[in-house]
Amino acid sequence: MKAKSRKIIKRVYERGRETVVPPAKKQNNVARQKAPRQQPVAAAKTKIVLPATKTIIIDNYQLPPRYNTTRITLLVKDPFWVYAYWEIASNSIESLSNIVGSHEIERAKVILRMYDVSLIDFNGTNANHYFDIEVGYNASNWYVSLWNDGVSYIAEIGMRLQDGRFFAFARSNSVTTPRKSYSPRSEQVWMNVTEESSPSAYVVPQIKIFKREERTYYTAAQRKRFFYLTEEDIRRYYSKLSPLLKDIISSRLSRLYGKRARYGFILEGETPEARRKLLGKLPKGHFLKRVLIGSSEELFLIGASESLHERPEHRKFFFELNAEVIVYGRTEPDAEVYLGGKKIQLQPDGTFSLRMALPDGKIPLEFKAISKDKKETRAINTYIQRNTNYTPR
Amino acid sequence: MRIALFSWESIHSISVGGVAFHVTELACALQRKGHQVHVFTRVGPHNQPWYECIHGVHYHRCPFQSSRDFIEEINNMCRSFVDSFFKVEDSIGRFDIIHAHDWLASNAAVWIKEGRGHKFILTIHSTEYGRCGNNFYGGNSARIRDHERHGTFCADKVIAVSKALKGEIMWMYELPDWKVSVLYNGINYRNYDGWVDPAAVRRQYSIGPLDPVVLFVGRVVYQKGPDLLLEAIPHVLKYHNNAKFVFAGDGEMRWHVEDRARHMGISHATRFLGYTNGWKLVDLYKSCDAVCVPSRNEPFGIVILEAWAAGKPVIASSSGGPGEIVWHEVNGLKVYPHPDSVAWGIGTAFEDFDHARWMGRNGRVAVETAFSWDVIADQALTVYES
Repeated sequence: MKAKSRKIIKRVYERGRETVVPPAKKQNNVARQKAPRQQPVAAAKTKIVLPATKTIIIDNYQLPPRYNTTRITLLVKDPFWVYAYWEIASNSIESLSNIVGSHEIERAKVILRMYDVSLIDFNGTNANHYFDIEVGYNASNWYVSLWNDGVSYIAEIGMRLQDGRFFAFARSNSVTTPRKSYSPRSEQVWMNVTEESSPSAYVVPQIKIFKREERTYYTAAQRKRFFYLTEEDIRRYYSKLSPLLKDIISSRLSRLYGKRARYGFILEGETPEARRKLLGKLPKGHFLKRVLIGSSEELFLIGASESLHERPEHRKFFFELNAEVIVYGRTEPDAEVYLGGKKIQLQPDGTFSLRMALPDGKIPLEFKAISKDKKETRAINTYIQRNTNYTPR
Repeated sequence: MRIALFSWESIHSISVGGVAFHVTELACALQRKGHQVHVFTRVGPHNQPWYECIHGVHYHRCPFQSSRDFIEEINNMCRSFVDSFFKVEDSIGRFDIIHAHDWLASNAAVWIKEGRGHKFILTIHSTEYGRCGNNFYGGNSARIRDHERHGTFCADKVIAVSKALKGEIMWMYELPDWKVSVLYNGINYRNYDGWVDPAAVRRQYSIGPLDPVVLFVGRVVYQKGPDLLLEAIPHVLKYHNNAKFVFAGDGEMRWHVEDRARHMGISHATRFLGYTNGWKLVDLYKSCDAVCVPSRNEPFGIVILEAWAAGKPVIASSSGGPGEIVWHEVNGLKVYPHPDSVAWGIGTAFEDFDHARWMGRNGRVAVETAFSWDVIADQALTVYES
């Protein structure tokens, strides 16, 4: 039997891909001439120029079975299933066998190790837990069944030696499986129907990200600037901090000065030109002007703070009063005199005198005199009372 | 004006947290402005009388039935508030304002408004979402959120303690902007006047007289971020090896934090004091070098005002209230709620102690200017009148 003549196949390499271009078929002129049958006669008479044969590209390119790289990827299928696919390059296994020895490799098992990394920053050792799947040399993908929904996993493909040591070849991306049910949040969160975009129903942490060139570093001189803030500046800042306090001051000013004051505080949010215009109308040193500029001491004198309002004035006038008492007596020079058990020194002529402070209240004075021969005793009991009444103003 | 304040805590009954100080001081300040103020609160320990007039403020302490269910117990408390409120009103005349504090007392005011149509103001000091560490939990937490939603819905005006909290409740409970006012917390800064010998105070806690001391005040819970400060300590010790960190406060995280300090080998630099208040705390404020507030969520941060009143600079995380009231580099340092950033703040404060003292002085000025209770009471009155 005559062998079939081989077709000439033109191989085209285009962008790294191989395409096969079959040879042009023998042109069937009869069939071609039939086609433009409706053409006018004049056109038919001219020589018919056939279009160039269109190159038909048959793309029977197939994905290569292996790329000779070592890598693993995880994909989520549903809340309870994760799909893993991987490739282990032969040089990975060779390098491992250089470390542990080829006889160990023969008995080692290929393992897919799944790490539960839910809500943690995984560093290789701190997984919540992990489990192993023996996958064998020939497998290159696996469906992994999980028992929880809403968890994060990272996989490693590697080999487990006979003694239990695990050597990972590659680590995958992390995946998070979705919830199996609806959200546990049960509050009503109504939508704001407005022209503008409504705010998010969830808390979005506001983190400022500085770009390197936008970031401003304070020089030492700029930092020193803060030291020249006066107490007045700080009072000014804090008297305007609270929104309600500002309203109070505004209303008090308007009670005192009519509408002008209220305008002043409304103007505060406006342009500096408008403010300056209003301030220019007021006379120099005007109370309202000083308030608007921000000297807040006056704000407190209006009565925003009672304690500062009642600050005592320092005046020169004063009036003080105090009292002392002098007690004196006489007895025989050689006798002994006691005041409440305490001996009193007598003068050579037998007199004695005591000078004491006299505070408010009742002070009992119990004197006792004993003669030299201890045969006679005299006692005198008296008391002194002082009452003071202060009457301000 | 006759004003009724409803609160589950006050200094003169049971004091739990910042609300006690807020209610008591606000009541006193309103009384000083010449208003008649009645506070309805719980009965404290030590056989407290059911009625007492303290500093011109009328305290009505209301007994109620306890319950295994906390929220039901709180409802019992509210019923008791309503009962004694009606009794008081029947005998002395109509109230102009009823003002409830937090969700705990909100139901009392809601029921009074239903019955007699009073003007109802509700102050929100923190949200359940924030107390859970920015989480929407179910169970009792969801019930509490319902209370908060209901209270804010029924109130004529809602007061939030910071702009951040205002945004939070406007977002969560769909309140219109006009309904919510911002009213900062205040402080009785005169309590922090005077001088103590820092060395003597430090000796009590076995701290050297010249050691740089950082003070943390607050419940030791996740929301307040004590762990962030703890993780920052090694970075500080690298440059100031005699620095000491004093944690005043108690909470569910305390065991963990102490254990972590031992684990990290920095327990020599830490002092855990447990719940501290009164003059002990004031002395601590006066004798430390800087106060650190590394909160993850902070509605206002009274600790900052206390530190300023004692003339100390703060190192505060910029989330929520502290972000609004702290002026960076002028009376405190704003940091991110992250250990590295906290360490940066402490390091910057310790780098230049003159600057730190200057910042502390500025803090005192700020407190005297805008955060005295008289100023706050003035603002509260504008809300009442609006």
